Order: sequence, then C-alpha cells, then structure tokens
Amino acid sequence: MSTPLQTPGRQNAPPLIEARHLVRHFQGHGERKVHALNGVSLSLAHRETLALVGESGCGKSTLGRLMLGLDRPNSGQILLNGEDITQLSAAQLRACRTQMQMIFQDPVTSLDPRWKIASIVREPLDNFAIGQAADRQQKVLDLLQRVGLRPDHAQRYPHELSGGQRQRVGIARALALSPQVLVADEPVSALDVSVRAQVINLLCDLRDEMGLSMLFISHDIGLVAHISDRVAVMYLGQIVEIGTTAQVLDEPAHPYTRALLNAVPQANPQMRRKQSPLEGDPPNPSELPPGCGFAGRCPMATDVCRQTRPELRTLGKGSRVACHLAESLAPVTVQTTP
Amino acid sequence: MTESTPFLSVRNLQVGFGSGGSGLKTVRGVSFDLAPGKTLCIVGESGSGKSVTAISIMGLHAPGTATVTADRLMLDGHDLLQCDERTLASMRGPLMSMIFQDPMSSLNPVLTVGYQIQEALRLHEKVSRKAAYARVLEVMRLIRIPDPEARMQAYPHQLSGGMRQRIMIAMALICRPKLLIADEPTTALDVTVQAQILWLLSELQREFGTAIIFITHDLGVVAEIGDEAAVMYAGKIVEHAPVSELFGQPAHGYTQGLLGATSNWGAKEQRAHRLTEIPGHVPPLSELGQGCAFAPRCAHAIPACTQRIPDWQQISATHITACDQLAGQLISPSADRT
Repeated sequence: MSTPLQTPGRQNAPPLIEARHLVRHFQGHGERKVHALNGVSLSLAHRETLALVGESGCGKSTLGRLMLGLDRPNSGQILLNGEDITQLSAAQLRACRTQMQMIFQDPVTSLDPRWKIASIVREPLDNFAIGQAADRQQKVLDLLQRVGLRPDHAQRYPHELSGGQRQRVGIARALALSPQVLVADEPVSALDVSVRAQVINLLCDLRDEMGLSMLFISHDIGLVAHISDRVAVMYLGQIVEIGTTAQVLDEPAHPYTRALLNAVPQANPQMRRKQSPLEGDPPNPSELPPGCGFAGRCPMATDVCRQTRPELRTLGKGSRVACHLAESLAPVTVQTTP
Repeated sequence: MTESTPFLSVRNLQVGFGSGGSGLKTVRGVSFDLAPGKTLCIVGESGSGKSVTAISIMGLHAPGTATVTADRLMLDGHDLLQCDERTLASMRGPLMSMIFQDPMSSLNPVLTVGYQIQEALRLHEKVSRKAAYARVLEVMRLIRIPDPEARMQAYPHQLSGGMRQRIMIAMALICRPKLLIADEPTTALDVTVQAQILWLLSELQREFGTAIIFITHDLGVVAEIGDEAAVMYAGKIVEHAPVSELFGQPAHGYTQGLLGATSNWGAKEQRAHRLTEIPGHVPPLSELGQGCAFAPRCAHAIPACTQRIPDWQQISATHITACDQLAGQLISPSADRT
C-alpha cells in the first residue's frame, strides 16, 4: 500500500513531496478523539498539481497543514526531497519553509491590517535575509507586477484593496521566496465569481512560469477540472479515490465520488437532476465506524463494507480506489453536453 | 405571469441608506413579477443589491435605516408599501417568509429548535400547544428530519449545518407561506447537502405551489432550480429571462461574463480552456458613472455605453436585457420597450 502514486508520463521523476500513512487526531472532550486523518498516503511530483477535494470535515485542510509542517502528525512521515520533515526541529523546519508556501482562503484575515502591502510581501524576504534591503524593495515591486498589481499598491493598506487584489497580495507573498511547493487552501472561495476566474488563471500562469508543484485544496469541482493534473477525493479522513483528473471526473469508481460529482449543480439547465440526491451526512469523525466510512450512506453497501475498512487499491484503468465493490459497480454514463 | 394581477409585482424599487435617503442607493430601480408556483432566481455578486431587494419585500429593514420607494410593491393583492408594521408582521409567516444564508447566526442558540419552529405558528394562528406540537412534527417530517421527536429538543449547536438549514426551512414553512424568499440558503453548505436542500425545495414547491425567490451567486444552482432568472449588477437588473434562454442566449455582457467565468466541467472539451475573465472588479456604488454600470468591464462596450443607461431591449416575449449593443446583434431591428 505504500508504493508512491505516480502520474502517467512522470514515472521517472522522484516525488517532490510525499506523505506516508499520515494519522492525525485531535483530543476532544474526555476520552473522545476527533480522527482528522486516518492513514493518508500521497505524493506530489515536480510541476504537478494535485487537487484535494471533499466536503467540510473530511481532513483536506489538516492534510495541507501537515504537508507544510504547520502541524505535526501523530504518526506517519512527510518526505520533502527525501527528508522526513516530521522529525525536524523548529529551526530546521523553518529552513524548509523557503521551499514550501501557502495561500490562505480568506484574504481579509490572512493579511495584517496594520501593515502596508509592501511590508506584507517583503516579510518573508526579511525573515530569511535574502539580498540587500534595496534589492528586496525591488523584488517586492517585481512580485506585485507579476501578480497584476500596480507599484502604487505597495504603499496601501489591505483595507484599501478589493478582495481579488488582496488575494493577489497573498499570492505575491507566497511566491516571494521562490518556493517549489505551493499549498493553496480554497484560494478563491471567498471571492466573487467574476474575480475568481482572474485569480485562478493567474495562479495557473505563475505555476507554469515558475515550475511550481501545487496542492490545490478545494470543494469546487469546476475549478479542479480546470487546474489539476490529478485529483484525490477525501472522505472522513481518508483518500477514497485518486487518479488523473479525467479518470476521477469521467470514470469515478467510488460510490462517494459519484455522489459528490452528481451533487454539483451544472451550469446547464439541460442537465437538471432527475433523481433524488444522496441522503444523510458524513459520520462524526470522533466516532468512526469499523468498516468503510461511507457504508452508512452508500446505496450499494454490503456486510463486508460495514465490517472491514477497504484499503486503496489500483484498478485496471490506473486510478486507485478504496472500495470493496469497485469492480462490480456499473460504469457511469459520462455526462456530455447535449 | 398573468396580464391582470401578478402574485408578486415589483416596479421601480429603490432602496437608499443613510439619513433621509440622502446616502447611496443600493437598489436602483428593480422591477419584476412572479407567478404562484414559480421560482425566480436573482443572480448577482456581493453588493449587487439582491439581498436588499429581498429584505425590502419582507419589510425587514431596521426602523429608520433604509428608505424604500417603489412605483408598485404588491403581493397577493396587498400594497406592501402602504402596510404598517403590524400588518406586515401579520403577513410574515402565512403570506411570505424568508430563509437566511447562515443558519448558525440566524437561529437562537439558547432555545430548542422545536420551540423556534412553532414560534411563528403560535403567533399567527390561535392553536393549542398540543396542536402546535403536531404541526411541528408534521413539518419536520415533511422536510425529512430524521427522528423528529428527539430533534425537537435539540439546540442549534447540536445539529449539523445541513440539519440547521432544514430547521430554518421548517420555520419558514410552518405557516405555509405563499411566497418563500431564500437568500443564499445553500452557500454555507457542502454540495451533497446543497443537493438535498435544493431537491427538497423543489418538491415542496410542487406540492404546495409556493412562489420562490431564490437569491444566489451560483449559476449552477440557477440552472438546477430556476424557472426564470434576473441578473443583478450594481443595484439594477441587467437581464431577465427564462433560465433556458438565459443560458442559451445570454444577452448582456455581464451575464456572458459570468457564464464564461463559470466552469462547465461536465463538458470535457471545455476543461483545457482557460476560464474567461471579467476584467476589473465591481465598482463601489459611490463611483458609478452616468451610463451602464458594467460598461468599464464589458467586452462589447462602445463609448456611448458610459454616457447613458440603455433602455430595455426585448429579445423574446419573456427575455429582456438592458444592453442595446448585444440586443442589436441578437435580434434584427429592435422593438423598444420601456
């Protein structure tokens, strides 16, 4: 189960960052534990974008934070260029941060309201004492230009900018250290629709120009379809399906993936829902069921599903899925525009 | 829409804030009709005035904060502008009710949900406690809250987000309103829960013939549940059409922009394409010029667009747009309508 996941065409490249059997639980009231991650393994290759999709509470943000060393797992390893960052001291970890950066969801709370934009973007450069002061100032202006802001924005405060502009500042700050890995946690979900496309396109352009690898955390399947090479679907702290974007979106093998895709409203009145949607809510992550986490809501569930937890395994088409019944499920009818 | 008296008729609704209406107008002349049993989606981004429109129909502005004027604001034969607060209060519940976006901040944390559901009923109808209890159970079963007897005793924090939103819907439906206004009721919810709520609302509408105004920024949701859609930008409706026509033949630059910025991921060939950006951002209401508010961002704008506000152009019997540029392209010599 621990073989690293590879992208077709990139088989020879060693993974840039790799998670192995990550487990993270948080202490709840008394004896209760919230199981946020229950043994997650995945890898990210050079210049690859992997999307983590799933609903609130599935553990996708926890996984993103662990990958950046912002939080430590209870067990498991995270290898960045072959080095296990979970074992590093705080000082050693700090040195690693030049290689990995994060873009946060909320552009209002992730920028200090008392700082000018120039100081916000320069902070990582100051922290790691990169170049002379004058060079840093120039670098800040270059970064602002690169994310589509004007030089005069440098002397403004966050509240003077629109939401989309603020998120551009967050991107500039994340790119200041020229990282290899970018973790973007719902980077556009707080933005208006008309601005969302601008920021997503910018992120794609910068990723391609700078050769970045990206972990793109999102609940928005539409954006994921445009931005990612591979998609990992999470449910209740586990990856239930992972494969190329086409494999997961066009031939979803896990019943949860199917239900999730089916629930996303399509911007096409001809594709209206004809049958009732998936019922119920995900189980409470502090009371994990013994078998498959999805068994309680799954229309196909059998006794095996309720008793034994399925592990991720490779299907004939190349994607990996954690479902006992994956082979016996009818192929999905691929939706096409009429 | 019937010729004689539409169920809900809004003409030239204007809402201003600030002392004596001297402040900025957030709704700048909104007109539409709605028939019983139909769903009108009001689409727009933050600040477009869609929520203010809804709150003005409900008469829920805090006293003294807003100046609401209209040439007509009629609901089921009642002139809402002429009603005093007591009359309006008596209508909220049996005639019109509203579901708010955030079920956590809209529910009272120190009262059981059962109490909150029956409150409106006890206020409007002289029913005994016992009868009220039966009605609450009935409405909770109707919206498929599992184990309603036990859930009635629960406090909001003990329920999931989807369940809380169902409680909000139960509160809105307990007096069987003829008009239901839903202000982004699923925006805070996960997609599988959103699918459940949308399905539920359309089932209830089929059963009771409720007219629904559904406010959203998500074109996918519009395509899923709307009969008609009105697109709002900077306090005005810019296009109003049956949903199939709006998606099939968008006739305003803003509608086209929104559709381009929305991922149509179900269509495989679309995925490789970049999302279309709408340049710039929504202008502050204080900076609106003489002409079409969208002109500075519009791909089709000519200099004249910034000088004057275009008249309504008729694309079909039920499809109007406030853009003469596009209307001119879509129809041969345009029949003007005011």
